[in-house]
Amino acid sequence: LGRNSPPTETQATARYPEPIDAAADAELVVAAQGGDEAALDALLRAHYDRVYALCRRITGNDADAADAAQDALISIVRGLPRFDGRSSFATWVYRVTSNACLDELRRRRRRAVPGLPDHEGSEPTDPTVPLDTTVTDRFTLDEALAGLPEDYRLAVVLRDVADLDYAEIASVLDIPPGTVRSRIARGRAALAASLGGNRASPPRRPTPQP
Amino acid sequence: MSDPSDDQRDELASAYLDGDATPAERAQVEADPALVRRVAELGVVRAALGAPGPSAGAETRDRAITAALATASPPAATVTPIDRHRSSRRALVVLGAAAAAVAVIAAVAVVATRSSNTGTSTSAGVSTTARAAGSTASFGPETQSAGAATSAAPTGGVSSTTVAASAAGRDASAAAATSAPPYLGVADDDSELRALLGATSASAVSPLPAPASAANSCTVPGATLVGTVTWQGTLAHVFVANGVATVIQVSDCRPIATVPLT
Repeated sequence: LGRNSPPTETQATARYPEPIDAAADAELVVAAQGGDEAALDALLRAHYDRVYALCRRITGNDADAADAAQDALISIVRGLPRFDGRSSFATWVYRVTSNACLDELRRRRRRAVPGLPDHEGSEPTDPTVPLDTTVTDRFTLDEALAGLPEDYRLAVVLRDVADLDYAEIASVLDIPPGTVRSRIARGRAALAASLGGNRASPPRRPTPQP
Repeated sequence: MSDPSDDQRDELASAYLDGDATPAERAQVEADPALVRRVAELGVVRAALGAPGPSAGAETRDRAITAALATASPPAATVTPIDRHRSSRRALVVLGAAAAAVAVIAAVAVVATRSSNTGTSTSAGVSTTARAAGSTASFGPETQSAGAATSAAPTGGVSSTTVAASAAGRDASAAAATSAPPYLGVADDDSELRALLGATSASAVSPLPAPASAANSCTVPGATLVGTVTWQGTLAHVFVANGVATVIQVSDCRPIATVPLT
């Protein structure tokens, strides 16, 4: 899987993940915690597309996303007995997935060969090209995302890919909602600059908020 | 470096876009044509990110789910009054002991037969616990419910490995107490595996030999099962003995790597 046998079928189709059904999740969680393997299987299948989509945007490539998504699923299975329902299952899944993706990025940094270009720090695209044209190119989008600091990238992806609200993102990332708001804004602004040459400037980290 | 006021305006526009602006902030945005344009620009970014991206194929998804299910721990036993199940529990113990005895006899017979014919065939020192149907059934609900790990392994493929006598240790209490080994993470090479093992706290390392309650769990004689990893994309158990980690593929108990830890 992943780096050793890239999942070539990954490029095949793009689709929106199914909407989250919190009530169905809750039933499946209870059954899975009780040892119902079919329920656990159904739970993982219900969330895999979102988990993968999140990992794909955070890691920026198919192979790392597949590895991170598999790692996330394993962590979900291992952690499920301790899931206490204080947050929604989906929010908990996103928290676990975010951590798995960050772990994958750390592993990728350790593997990086000195002297070779990395994903990080890509150049802004041609400012004469309209923003709505460049953003349709997923490779450009991947490069733009890769150029974001990780904390901005996570916040933006959790908002715009996972469709979490600010409070949920704050819970997932364990940061104040105000920090979520500023990270999303700065992340989007940096992406807009990177994709369309708007006010091109390197993204700056937000000042810490209480 | 962007103007700090730009950051504030972007935060306003972004919050407006997300419906997170206060009424006063909304009024401020709507009264400012530049901010309205900025909302539109950030909206394009949001739409691009929210568009369906590349999805994993069915094969990738199924592989990930199978790997995850294989790490599932058996559920906690249901608490029931002792008097209601005492007799059935006693029967299970008797059956378990009988099955263990049968497994030991079978193991000894197989080893003796192989030794007399071709010599001992403990390739890489790896063995697989007996998978006789009788021994599987004899451990009752706990073993049945361990099924996630069990289901990932093929029922065949035992013939190339030596049947271990470790079934002798599989009494009913061991079967009930066994839990899946800790999942340690992803490792693609020796150094990453060492890092994972180094990060494993002493308390996380099972002080006992490899759990063998599952009918098809893998064992390495004399080695300790320290956890499960994703080794080069394959779910694998890691056994450690004498400063060497042996990586065993979960699906068929085949050794796929040995890594010196020093």
